[in-house]
Amino acid sequence: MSTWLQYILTGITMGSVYSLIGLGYVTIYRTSHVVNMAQGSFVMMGGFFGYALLKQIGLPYWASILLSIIAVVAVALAMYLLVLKWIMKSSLVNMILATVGLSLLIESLVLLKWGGYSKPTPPFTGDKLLRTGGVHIKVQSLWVVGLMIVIFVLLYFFGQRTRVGKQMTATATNPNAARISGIPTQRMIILAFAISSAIGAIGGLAINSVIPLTYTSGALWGLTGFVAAILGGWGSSGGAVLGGLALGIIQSIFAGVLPAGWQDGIAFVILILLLYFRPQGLLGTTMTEGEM
Amino acid sequence: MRGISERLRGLYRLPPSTVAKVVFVVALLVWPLAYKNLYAMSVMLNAGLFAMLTIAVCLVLGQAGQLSFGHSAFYGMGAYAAALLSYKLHWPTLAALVIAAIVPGIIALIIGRPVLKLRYFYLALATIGLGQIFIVILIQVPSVTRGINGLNGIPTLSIFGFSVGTLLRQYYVVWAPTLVILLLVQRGLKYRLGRSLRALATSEIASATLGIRTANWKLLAFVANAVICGLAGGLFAFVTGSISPGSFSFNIAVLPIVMALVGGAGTIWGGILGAIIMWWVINYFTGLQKYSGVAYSLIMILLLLFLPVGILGIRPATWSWLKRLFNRESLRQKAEMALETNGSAVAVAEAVDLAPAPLPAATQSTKARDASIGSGALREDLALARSDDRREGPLLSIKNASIAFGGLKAVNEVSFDVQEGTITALIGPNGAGKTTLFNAISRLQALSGGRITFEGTDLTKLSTANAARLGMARTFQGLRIFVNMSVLENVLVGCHRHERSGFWSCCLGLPRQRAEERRSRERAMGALALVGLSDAASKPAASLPYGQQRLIEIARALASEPRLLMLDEPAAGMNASERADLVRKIATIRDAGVTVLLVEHDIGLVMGISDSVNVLDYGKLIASGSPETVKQDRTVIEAYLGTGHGTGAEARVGEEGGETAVRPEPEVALAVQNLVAAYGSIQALHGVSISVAKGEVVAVLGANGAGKTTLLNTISGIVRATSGTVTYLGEDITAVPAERINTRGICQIPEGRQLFPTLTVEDNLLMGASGKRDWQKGYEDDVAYAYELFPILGERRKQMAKTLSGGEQQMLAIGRGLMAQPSLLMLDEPSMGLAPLAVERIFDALRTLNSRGITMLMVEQNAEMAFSLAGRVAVIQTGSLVLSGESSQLRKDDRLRAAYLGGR
Repeated sequence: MSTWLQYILTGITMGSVYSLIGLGYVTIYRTSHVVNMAQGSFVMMGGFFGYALLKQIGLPYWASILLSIIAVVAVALAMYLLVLKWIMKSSLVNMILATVGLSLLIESLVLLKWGGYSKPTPPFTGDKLLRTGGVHIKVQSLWVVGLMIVIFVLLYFFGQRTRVGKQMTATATNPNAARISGIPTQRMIILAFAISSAIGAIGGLAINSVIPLTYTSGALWGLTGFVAAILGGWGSSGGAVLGGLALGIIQSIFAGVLPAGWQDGIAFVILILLLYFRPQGLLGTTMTEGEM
Repeated sequence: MRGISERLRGLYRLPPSTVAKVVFVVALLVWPLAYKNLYAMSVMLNAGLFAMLTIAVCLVLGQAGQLSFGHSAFYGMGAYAAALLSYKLHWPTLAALVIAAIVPGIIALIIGRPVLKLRYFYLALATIGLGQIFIVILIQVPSVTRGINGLNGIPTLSIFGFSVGTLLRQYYVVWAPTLVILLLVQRGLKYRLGRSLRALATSEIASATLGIRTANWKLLAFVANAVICGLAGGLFAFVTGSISPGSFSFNIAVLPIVMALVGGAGTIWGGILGAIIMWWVINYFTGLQKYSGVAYSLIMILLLLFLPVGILGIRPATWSWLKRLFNRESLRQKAEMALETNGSAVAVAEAVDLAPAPLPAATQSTKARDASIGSGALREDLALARSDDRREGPLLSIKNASIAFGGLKAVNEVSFDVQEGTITALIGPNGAGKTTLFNAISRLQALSGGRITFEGTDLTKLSTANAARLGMARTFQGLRIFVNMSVLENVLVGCHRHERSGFWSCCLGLPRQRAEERRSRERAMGALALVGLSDAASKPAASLPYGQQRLIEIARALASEPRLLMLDEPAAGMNASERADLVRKIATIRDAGVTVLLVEHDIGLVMGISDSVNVLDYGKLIASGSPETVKQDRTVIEAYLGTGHGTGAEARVGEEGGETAVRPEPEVALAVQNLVAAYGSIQALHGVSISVAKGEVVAVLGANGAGKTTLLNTISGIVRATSGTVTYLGEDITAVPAERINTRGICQIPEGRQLFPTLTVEDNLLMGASGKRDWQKGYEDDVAYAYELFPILGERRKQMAKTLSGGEQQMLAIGRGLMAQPSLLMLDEPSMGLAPLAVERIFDALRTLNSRGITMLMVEQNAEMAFSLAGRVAVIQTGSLVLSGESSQLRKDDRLRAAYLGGR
């Protein structure tokens, strides 16, 4: 019993990071219809920037976190303003290709700078293990889960209750109507990129001490987060969180049952089963191919 | 002797691109014999393997427009299948190679089936996932695959005893199949195979309405992609003798895409060229291992940014847009030009050149009788379709059809029949639900109630493509031509449902396929002759003017030899003489035996030719019968011209006229000078000048597609002007972005309302205040003002916009516009699709607003309502201003009637 509970707890930790990544995808997609395959790179950069500022430069932890987030957001905005913005109107397929190219570029640059090994950072608040009833959980895992919940709730209120959040929704549903209503749609998309890169960076900073990141982690985490967003129902924040947690738990259970190494494939087996049997995801409604 | 010299002269006449291709292929085959450099040969050997992968990419991405990252997995599957079968199970190597190609094909079939029906990015994700699973399996089953170390000592490939051991032999064993695949695929892509793929890449909707089962064709391309990759993988295993998971990583999936981009993803030849160039580049960087990842991701990004058409896509036109890129011109235009220069220019010219013999003859004879139905195949076939299986009862029968969008009933319990051999018109004001009903007939839109049968077959259960295959074809109000093809190719896509050739017969050019193609070309040329476009056959479709693009759509639909031809506003954007010509053509089509269902909002156009007329208003069928009876129907006149036509309106005009006479020099609010605007290649405005004085109401009239909406969109900044200026209150706002124009006090109330459907009434109003510098200032007052003007909105403030009725939505759209405290309101068809009572309410509100000092520029098709409000009227026809003046004078002008209501 306690073994299973342990799997579930581990799964929730992993799943929270997937949820954060999924939220990042959804935030950008909902304002701009861009599928940003570089979402995982934000997570990876968060981890590595945190390490560099904390260990290599020696800043205090809080300052490292803050500066890392700012740095990742800066990279994301540069990505959008220098590359994606110009490709956006021409073709959606080229758009995805460009984000794939950008994530490969970031990966290669991180490899050049920090090499192929992981650069773990210490937990935010001590590496104590909490034990109750035969299961144990790292304090850092609580941070990860807690951050995810806080971000989800903040995003929800931002979208539903604030004027800017509603302007983002308006931009997503009808960009031209938004523009003639005076909404600066470019700024809304930039804001979406900033929010989703910040979310990614926070995820990377938080998970790096639990599961150390390497330069290739970004791609893998990013794709798993994408699967999570589809599992929950593409396009909705609630779906991203639900899908992330579900995927984390399933992965963790399989990782416990199967020999190590198989877990990287599980997410994609689930993806393919999902596309066959429930392409709209757990929460979503049927989505058919539309012409854009 | 003569034969030879003639052939030589024939060679001389070959287009230079063909000569270049022949030289290229010969050079690839000959150089290793002349220049025995082992290094160069080994580089070219690997380039050959990647050339195969790149061909596969060009097929799926370049032609079908589907983004797949499956190549690395398919390549790896092929390699491992070949290695395991020959090395572990001691199969003959050639048999192992065949299986190596088949295995990935089967996997692609299994994965592609569900994924290709979903949104475009699902395929990307699923194929990345496939690559991931594949690597995991390789590493996790070391007993079979030897895990991360991979397999060594794979035997040498032996083809019926001929051992491929030396580098030279390996070179040929790779390049021979590569070139064979290249030649086969590029042949196939010229015919039905390529047309179907390119068509669905441009518009799945248009393709489906021509009977193309898009999911099947996408799957075919995807499976062919996998088989080619698998073959390359098998060859790779035999050539290198050792394989490991590292050779099939995600990077290997991206590399062929980059190669395809280098050469130009649209052409197979570009792919090969790109593969060779990129492989040499990468080979250079392997010396600097560390930087190779940076280098090739940068190349990829730069290509996407600056040269999305690839090297072979570069044409003089490309250079000019490269220049414009630095002047920050609109990207959309570039994309369309890219398609134009890339996909069609070369391929199309060739397709026409290499067309089977009887083409010129067909062209001439059809040209001779241009306006009458074309000779030969098309006419015979059309006649055949008529006599073939004529049955009792109507051809198309609509029974109690209803279509609802949220709370809005766009079509409400409509029933009517279309008799075979007639022209049946479906008319009604804009927004009455005509196009929606049309979409339901062609199965693009689900019915929420009722039934539609075609010859007794219930359409409601069929897919779009299968419904089309029964013998229905249609055109679209907003054009959906295949911009990446020539005019002839567009029309040939129409022949799709009569053709049978698939992948192999297209690639191999089997006699049956050749005969079929010849027949299709005759049909297509016949259809083009019928609409009078024979001379334009080889031109890129996107290069034709708007009116002719409409004719392409009609020809395309005709080429499918439909029993029922559905035309959705075919006269939109045409001038009077073009309209008259079109009417004659439609009559000719009917006389050839095709039943025509026509949607028009122009009563004049349909009355003369229709056998029966059905009138929709506000989603309901209000009249049905012969043109004469409908013309006299009182409800029709009211629905059409509005109820406001009478003495009241004229009196108001009189008052206004008096006022303006007293006023000395009205101050100009908006001044438009020589405005030119274009959507891609289609020029929509040709130098329009118009001015609006402060406090004035100016109405812009004109037929559908004349450019009225474009005029408003260009003023509001949604469409960028190509040239000309827009000045508002003395300031030049031509280049100001739309959201800033809103801030300056110009507010557009767009056609079809365009609310934010998932936001509440209150929030829609809130969005309208976005452009104000200090939005909170006066916000409450503005909301109260909107609710005072439209009390119903106040009652529904918490309701989502999509649940409102049409009239309420229009009120909300106006309310949203008022939130920006505009001094100029631009209204686009405020009465569209609304019941007379709602129209009255809205025009009363507009009158109130005008009396409170708001200037207005409006586009309105309800002429009576427009005249009742506007002091001045301007008439636009095919993008030019043809008439303007005081409304009191203009309303009696015959020219207005001609321009506005059509030619007669």
